[in-house]
Amino acid sequence: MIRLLALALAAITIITTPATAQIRERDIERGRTTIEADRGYIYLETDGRFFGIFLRVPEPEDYVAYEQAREDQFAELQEQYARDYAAFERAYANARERRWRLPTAPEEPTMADVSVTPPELQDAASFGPGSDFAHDDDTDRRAYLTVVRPGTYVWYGPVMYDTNQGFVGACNCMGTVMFDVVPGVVTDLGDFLTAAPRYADRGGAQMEEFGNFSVVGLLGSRTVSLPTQSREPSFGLPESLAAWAGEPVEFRAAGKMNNFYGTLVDRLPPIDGVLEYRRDQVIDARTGEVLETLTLPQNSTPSEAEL
Amino acid sequence: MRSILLAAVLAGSTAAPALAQDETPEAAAVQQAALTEEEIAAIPMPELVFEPSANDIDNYEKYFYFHRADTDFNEAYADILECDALASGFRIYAGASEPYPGYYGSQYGIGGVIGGVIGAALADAIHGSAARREARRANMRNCMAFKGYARYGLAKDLWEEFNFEEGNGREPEPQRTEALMQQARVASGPTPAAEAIVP
Repeated sequence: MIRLLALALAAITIITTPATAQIRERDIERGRTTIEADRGYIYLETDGRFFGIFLRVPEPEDYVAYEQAREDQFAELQEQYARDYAAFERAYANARERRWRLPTAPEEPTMADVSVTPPELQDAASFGPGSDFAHDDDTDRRAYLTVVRPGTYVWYGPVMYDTNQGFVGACNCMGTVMFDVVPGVVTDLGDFLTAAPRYADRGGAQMEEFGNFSVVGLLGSRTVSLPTQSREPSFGLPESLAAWAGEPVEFRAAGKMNNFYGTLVDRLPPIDGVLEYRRDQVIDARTGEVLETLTLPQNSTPSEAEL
Repeated sequence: MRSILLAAVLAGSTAAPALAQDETPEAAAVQQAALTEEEIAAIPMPELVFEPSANDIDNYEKYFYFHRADTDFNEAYADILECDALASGFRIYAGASEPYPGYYGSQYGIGGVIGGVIGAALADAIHGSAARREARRANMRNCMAFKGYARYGLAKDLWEEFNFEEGNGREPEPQRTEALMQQARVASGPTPAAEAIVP
């Protein structure tokens, strides 16, 4: 039983919890946080609590670094194996001499024993439902400011890691949007992610499961309901970020992704001028192009030489 | 008899390239050659006609099948495999983003992801099992609905003939394949006489 549990834990170690680096408005007002030139910032607003994960599209060097990390870890495992085997040989000889029960030889490691977070998840960034940048007690309007590594990000969906439940939520695995985050600038998503989707055209299964998620916190369980009302999205950074460089976001459609975190499978409803569907085909509304079914969209592929 | 027929079909289908160590079963299955008409005909068509009781109707949330008009078997089978893989947390999508052939299979292996809505599954096997079954149903419904398939209710005993539940671990691959092929046969078969239910 212990071994089974250990195996299960080993299997999930590769899926690491997304980084959470949230800035709070009060930290800026008190001068504790200032903008850094080499970091990216994602600002968004929602009506009510919200949560989610952004996945950064890996670049060729990320794959190279990943392969190197795997090889390094494998070399370490082999070194450990060599030490373990030498110890086994000594123990074996000793046991044979004394006619004790013979020890079992250690298993030689293979690449299957290597566990390194895959490039697609290495720069995953999560936000919410707590640790908001600011909130309005009267309207429950909330803002989240997340620090990320600059690059192209995919809106993976309302998924969060709950310490009591594991990953909770629904991924936009069957279609979503992506956008660029440039360094030293706050990328202003406004309330686009929750306001712009045409919920009436969502399609899919008509189930409550895709609208409400139970989140277990220190003060007990509460339900976070996902938005269902479409409206004109609004943008604009708050006064507290006036000294920070801001840039409006440009969204584009993104194709299908794997269900990395093993959550419910969903898709972002269509969005005028950005994202459309033909059955389950993801359409770039700007060009009419059908997007490839990719693990992460528009991902550059390193050549064999680079690898 | 059914097993013998299926064995023949499976033997035929595995004549496609053998499953490489670095491929997931789903990815390999999607990539494999389409089944021939003869092979498709050998897949038994499950019984779908029944007189629904009130209890059957109450259980349509659990027991159902999919169908889409003007869809051939291979298309339906690919759709079911894709949805099954997504529901299982498998990595099925690779395509042009794959740094080199077999990359994703070698990185992720054939294991699924533990987590999701299974909620404290390690601590509570019963709750986790029920939640996993529920999550699978929800994911299959959502995915197949996006693909344009309609959903039809079925009596539990008929459903069990060509479906499986995976509350406590993955079914053996031959049984899964057999069931998924039959589901594709139904999904691409004659239009059901019954009325479709909510997606």
